[in-house]
This record gives sequence, C-alpha cells and structure tokens, in this order.
Amino acid sequence: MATDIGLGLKIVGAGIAIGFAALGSGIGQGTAAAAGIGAVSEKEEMMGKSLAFATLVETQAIYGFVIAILILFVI
Amino acid sequence: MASLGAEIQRIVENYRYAYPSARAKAMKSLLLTKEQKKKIAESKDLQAALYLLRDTVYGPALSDAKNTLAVEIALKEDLAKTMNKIGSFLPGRAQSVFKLYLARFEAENIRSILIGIQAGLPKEERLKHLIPIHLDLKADSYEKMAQSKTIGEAASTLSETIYQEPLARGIAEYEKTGLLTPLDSALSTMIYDRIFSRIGTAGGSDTTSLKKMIGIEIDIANIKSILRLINASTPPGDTLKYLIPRGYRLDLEKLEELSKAASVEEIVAKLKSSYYGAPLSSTYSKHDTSKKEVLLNALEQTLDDFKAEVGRSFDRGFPLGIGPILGYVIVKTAEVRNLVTVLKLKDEGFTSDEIEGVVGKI
Repeated sequence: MATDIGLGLKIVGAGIAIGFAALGSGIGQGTAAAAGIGAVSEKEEMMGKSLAFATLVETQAIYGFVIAILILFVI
Repeated sequence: MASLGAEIQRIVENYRYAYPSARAKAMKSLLLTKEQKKKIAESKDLQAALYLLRDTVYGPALSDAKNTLAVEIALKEDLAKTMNKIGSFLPGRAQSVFKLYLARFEAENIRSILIGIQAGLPKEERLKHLIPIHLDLKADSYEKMAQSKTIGEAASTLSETIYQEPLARGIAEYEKTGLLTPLDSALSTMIYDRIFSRIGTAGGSDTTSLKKMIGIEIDIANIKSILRLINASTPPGDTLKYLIPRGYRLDLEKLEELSKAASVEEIVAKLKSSYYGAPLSSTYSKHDTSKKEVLLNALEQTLDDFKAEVGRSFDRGFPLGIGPILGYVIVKTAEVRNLVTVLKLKDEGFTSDEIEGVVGKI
C-alpha cells in the first residue's frame, strides 16, 4: 500500500514537472516562432537567428523532462 | 492576485504582438542608414541620388521615376502601401484603430484638391499629388471633386461620405475667412474623434501607446497651426477654433493661453517648460528672428524631428508590444517626408550643407 502511494506521488510529481515545463516552453516557443515568422517575412536572412531563438526556449521543456526522469527513476 | 492578473495580461499582450512587432522591427532595419542618407545628400544630382536608392527598400518603387513629381508620387504610394500592410497584420482593436488612422491620407488628398481649386489649377494638376489610398473615397470621388469650380462645390461632392459633416462645418468658416485652415482642422478633428471613440476606455499598454502617439501628433499639429495663425495676426478667438482637442500634453487651457500670444517669440516662451519646450527654444535661439518664413519652417522641422525622436523611443518603452510598430510608423513617415524634400532640393542643385539647413541633421 505504502509503495503504491509512493509510486503514485512520484508519477504525479513527474507529471507536474514535465507538464508545467512543457506549458511554459510551449507558450515561449509560440511567441518566439511567431516573432521569427514576422521577421523572416520581411527579411529572409533572419531565418537562422529566428530558428535559434525558437529552439532556445525548448530547453525549458528538456529541464522538466530531465527532472521527471530523475523523479521516476533516481529518487 | 492583481499582479498575477497583470502578469498574465502582459504575457498575452506579448504573445499577440510577437509577430507584428518583430515584423515591424525587421521593416525598420530596412530603412535608410545614416551613411546612405549622407551619400544621397552628397550625390551630384537627382539621377545620381536615384541610382543610390536603387539598392534600398525604395528601389522597386522608384524604378520608373525620372523626375521629382514622379519620385514624390512613388514615395507617397510606397508609404501608403506600407501603412496598409501594417494595418493588415496588427491584432484586434489596434487594427481597427490603425485603419481609422489611415483616413489621414484621404484627408490629405482632400486638402490637396482643395488647395488646387483655391489656386485655380487645372483638374489634372489638382489630381497630381494624390496619395493612392482608397478607404472611403474611390478614384472617381477624387475625379468628381477635382472637376468642381469652387471649394463649396467640391465639398458637396463628398455628401455621402464620412467627410460630409466636417466639411459642411468648415465651409461656413472658409467663406468668412478665405482660409482652408477651418476645413483642415474640421477634417482632422473628425478623424481623431473617430480614433479616440474606437479606442474608448480600454486599458493595456497598446492603447496607452496609441493614445500617446496620436496625442503627440495632435499637439504638434496644434503648435504648427498656432505658429502660422499668430504669424498671420489671426485673432485669438479664431485661432482657438482651428485647433484640435485631445492632445497629449497640451490641453484646451494651454491652447487658449498659446492662442493669446502676440508673436512667435511669445509662443516659444510659453511652451518653454512644456514637453516640446527644449527643442523649440534651441531652434529659436539659433535662427535670425527677422526672417519669419525661415524661422517658421525651422520650428516646424524641429517639431517633426522631435516626433521622429519620440517614435524611436517607443521601441525602448514597449519593446514587446505595439511600441516598435508605432515607432516604425513615425520614423518611416518622417523618412519619406525628408527623402522627398532632399530629392527635390537635389534636383534644384542644392549642396549637402544647404540640404541639411532645410531638413535638419541628415
């Protein structure tokens, strides 16, 4: 019973970690990508920089994912 | 809780403006650099200046322009197209407000035809300087207007448009004074009234910025009118009638005080402690006050430069909102206006120093 509660809490914790990280990352990436499309539509040479900015925000989701893995398999 | 709400509102606003503000920033980066402007001013003649402009953002628009009139029309057409483009990608309420703002171009066209009629120019000449932007007025509306023999007749051709009411209001005053200023002021007041009623009482940094930009534009138009009217010895009561309400820093009380000034010097002195005081005082102190026309032109140029400077500051004030877009609108308009003047002066053989004397620092 105690194991079940502990495992359940771990799963919920991992879910919260990746869920919020992905939500924030999604909002940020949406904003950065929209801005990138705006800039590229007027200045094509901005394509590379725009992609870099859009992908930078994704690291937040990766942090969430790593924490979720740690919760599930290390702690 | 309130701060969380404000934070969410800020995130939503940033999200809504991410695309348009980045696009406006990219458009701004394509404007002429200081180096390019300097080279244009130093070029041998108009053709050499046009050659330099070939590789800039104005290149396609100017490809067929060979003389100053064609250049002026092409640049104004390019400006109108740019403004239409901005209007198309702004979000929500800002888009509808901006579309109302574009009516300024139509009002400028009406004014241009009225000036042509007053000066007794032939129909073709009256239509030559129009900016090709069509919101409430189509090409045939301008044609009909330009065929009129009198100002009153021209105003009556617009009877089924939004311009009917302000023109009817201004025409009585025009018939008394023979000045086009009342018509001009009535048109501007109508346009700004429509904009402010659309903005309403909505909050948010985008509406605050819009109100600031439009308010500064009104203040500057009022100061220019006061300078011209006082210089023409217009009585204070009449001057006040021609001014536009809802300015950013100059309320009706201040405008009334300014309209009672007896000279250009007194206006500059009364404005000294205002938002517009420093640049006006600096220009006034550098000019020969006996050359009235040169002085008035310099003061007007100073006000336009100040507006462009405020436009640049919008980027810093609201970097992720509507700021870069409004900043671009102001800076682009100023650049086109200056470019038209520089190219005209180039065609007349002015040197770069003389050009700098007319349009300010290049």
